Amino acid sequence: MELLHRIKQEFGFSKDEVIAFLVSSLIFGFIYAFKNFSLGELLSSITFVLVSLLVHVSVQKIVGLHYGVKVEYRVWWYGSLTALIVSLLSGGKIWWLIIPGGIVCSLIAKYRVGAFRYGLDYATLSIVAISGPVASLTFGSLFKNLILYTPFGIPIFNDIYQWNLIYCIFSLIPIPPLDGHYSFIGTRNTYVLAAGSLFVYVLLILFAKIYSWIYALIGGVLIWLIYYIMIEEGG
Amino acid sequence: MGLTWAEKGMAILFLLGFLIALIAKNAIISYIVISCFGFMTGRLLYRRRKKPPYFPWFLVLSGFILGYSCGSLRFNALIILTLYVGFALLAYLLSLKGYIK
Repeated sequence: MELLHRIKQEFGFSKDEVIAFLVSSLIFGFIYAFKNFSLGELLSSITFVLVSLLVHVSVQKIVGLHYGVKVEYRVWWYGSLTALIVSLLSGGKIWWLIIPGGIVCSLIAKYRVGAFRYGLDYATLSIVAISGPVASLTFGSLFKNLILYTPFGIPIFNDIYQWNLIYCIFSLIPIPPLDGHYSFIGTRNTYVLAAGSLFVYVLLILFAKIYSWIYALIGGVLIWLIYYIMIEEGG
Repeated sequence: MGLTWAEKGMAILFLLGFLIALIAKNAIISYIVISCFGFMTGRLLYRRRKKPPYFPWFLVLSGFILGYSCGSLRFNALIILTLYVGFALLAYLLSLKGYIK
């Protein structure tokens, strides 16, 4: 109930964020559509990129509100323009460099009053940041499941799945301002678990055509265990 | 006498600019790419505006635009230069006025 109240009070997108979403979806929609360029392809790409970005950041905002943190989306100009340049020079072959932007977090003072460790802390930021890639993966997987297990699958669902999966992978790269850097600096254990699970998930898809979160999570836990024994304890 | 980082950067970016310009398949792609680089330059200059010295950055960036111009001699070099400077200025002013963050 408390979270619901916070969402009603605080959830929303500022004017700067709306502009940032539009810029990102225009750039990355164009990049995705560039290989087989047509107006229909461009419009559909822009739309699904916009929706995917909204899902990614909205989940981060909701998780942020749970912890009393305000999350704002910002375009990463260097990343976005580099992706555009690479895509143009490769004739649309390299469309998978999806690094549109990242989040900026600030404290909502009234929701942190009385909380243990009042200020912003790395562990909280890590969880808030990692919820974005998880949301993207979940969102994409929903569409893949529609193709795999229902008769309602249409080709664009595959595009949405592919785009979200790659967005999730690139978001986890630990360079600022991408989500991965918050997590990598905040709690490396969480980072290794998330990145390890994603790694196993992608491997299972590539080599066995298995779309399973459960196997991916088991693989992720094993990778985390190896990391913990060899580096956290060993170091 | 060894080269300073700015001189090394200038040489590297000259080569990079030259290679990128050669990869561009037609004039339109080349113009869009240089506009993007111009925009990135504007952002970079905005970020460094209160952190002197400025000269090394101008040296490095001039190396890039020189290399790019040499690589795109088959297109119109004047348009390339104009787009680069124009978009750098645009990005700088937009950042300065707070329209882009």
